[in-house]
Amino acid sequence: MGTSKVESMADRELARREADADRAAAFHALADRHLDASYRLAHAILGQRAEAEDATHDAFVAAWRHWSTLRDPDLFEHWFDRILVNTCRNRLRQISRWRSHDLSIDQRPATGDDYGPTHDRGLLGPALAELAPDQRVVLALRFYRDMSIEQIAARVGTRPGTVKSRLHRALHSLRTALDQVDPQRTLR
Amino acid sequence: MVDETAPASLRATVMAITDLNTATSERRLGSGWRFPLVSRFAAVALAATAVGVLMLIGVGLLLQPAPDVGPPAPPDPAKPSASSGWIAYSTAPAADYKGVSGDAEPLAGSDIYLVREGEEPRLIADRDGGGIWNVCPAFSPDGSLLAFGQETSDGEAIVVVGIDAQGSLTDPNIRLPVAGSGLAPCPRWSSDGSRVAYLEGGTVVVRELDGSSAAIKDGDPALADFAHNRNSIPAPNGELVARNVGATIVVERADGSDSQIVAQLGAYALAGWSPDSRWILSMQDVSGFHFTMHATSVVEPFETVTIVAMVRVNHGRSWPGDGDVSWQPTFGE
Repeated sequence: MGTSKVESMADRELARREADADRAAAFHALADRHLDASYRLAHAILGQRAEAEDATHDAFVAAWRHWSTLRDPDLFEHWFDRILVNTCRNRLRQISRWRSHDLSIDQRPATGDDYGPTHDRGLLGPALAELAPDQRVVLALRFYRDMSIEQIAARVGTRPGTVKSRLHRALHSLRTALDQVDPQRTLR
Repeated sequence: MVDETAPASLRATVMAITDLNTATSERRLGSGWRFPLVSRFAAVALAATAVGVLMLIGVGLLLQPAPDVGPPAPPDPAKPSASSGWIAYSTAPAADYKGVSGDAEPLAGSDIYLVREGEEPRLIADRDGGGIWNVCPAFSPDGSLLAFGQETSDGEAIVVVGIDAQGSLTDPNIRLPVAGSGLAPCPRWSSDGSRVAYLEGGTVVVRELDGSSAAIKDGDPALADFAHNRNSIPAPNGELVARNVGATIVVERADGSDSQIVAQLGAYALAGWSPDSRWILSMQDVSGFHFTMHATSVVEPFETVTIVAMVRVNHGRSWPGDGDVSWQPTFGE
């Protein structure tokens, strides 16, 4: 066992560290650039700050773990959006499963829109909470990210027709819920 | 559009992700020793300290005289790759591979692979460009044979192949046609590994490996053996049960006592146990159309390892379904 073997091991270790440092630097730069928008989207889908923070964090963890599958950094937004949307959708499904096991009403997620008018919080929140996860996702992408139908379809990996259908059902459900609570539209 | 920036605490923990080997918060089962649930903030502080210490150690090592590097260490018997054989998985859920997934570019057909920690997946049964559905792999009790269901243009069948210790195909290669039901069958083994069974119209049908039909006898699979609750799976040793509760994996004694969270992976479903009841397999939905399979230990050394990452599935809705993963009993035992 000679010095040369140790040196080559040290070189490999340094090369690995340099590669790791490059990966980390790239991740930091992209995460920093997209964090605010990602958090806003998660909040729009999940309706709660705490859930949005956790989902955003979990999505970035998944992105870091699967960093090697990102072939082109220019596609990061598209690639990461898929992970984030899916993370949020899974969280919504889990919340639905908890609700189906007769949790107390206190444990239901508060879904009031923190940024909407005060009088709307009590109306929109529960209505949003009743939407299916896929409907909430397309709603958030359409109205918080201002995405086109085709862009939404690409993000969630489905057909534009399916996106239109989900949006239509989501908006119909919201209108129905709001009409039931405020039939005269006095609060608008 | 809502104008809001991410909280400073979230930004700090996201930037610290690259310093952590894993960002999961975990408790561990075993010996009554439990870690407190580590918050993101504590994890950042711990990680920063650990990185600093490691850097000091690394500098110290570089300054040391050249060490005498001996032969590579033997495999750790506690690791899944060394102790528990190959893991067979299908890229489509057996019970639901014909449903509509919503995928704009769905894959047709499904493959069966073998994998274990630290090794690349090996293709065992190919989907032939979309013309074949291979689902529901099941190792025989001695681990030398792998049975799976198959649907082709010629109809449905159970296929039985040999698997050697290196994870390669060997003899036999048996194809047992079954009555058409619209879905590939999901095989189960008799306790002595000499027969396979499947469901036909809700009834258990048993076949010898030469294809002949057989009357059911002791040791053959029963109806209950075909049930699969992806949210609650008993360990092979009968002492523990793993449950999927929200985004956590919970392990408890069979009587429901001593319940502990062992992982928080955002796991979408539990896949099964290792034959030695030391590891739990889970399949994490990553992008909606890819899963990553993890193994989480319930005995020391406590950890979660990635078995295979970002597997493209033909179907994003529901995996594992009714037996899409099978962990080979330790080969040769």
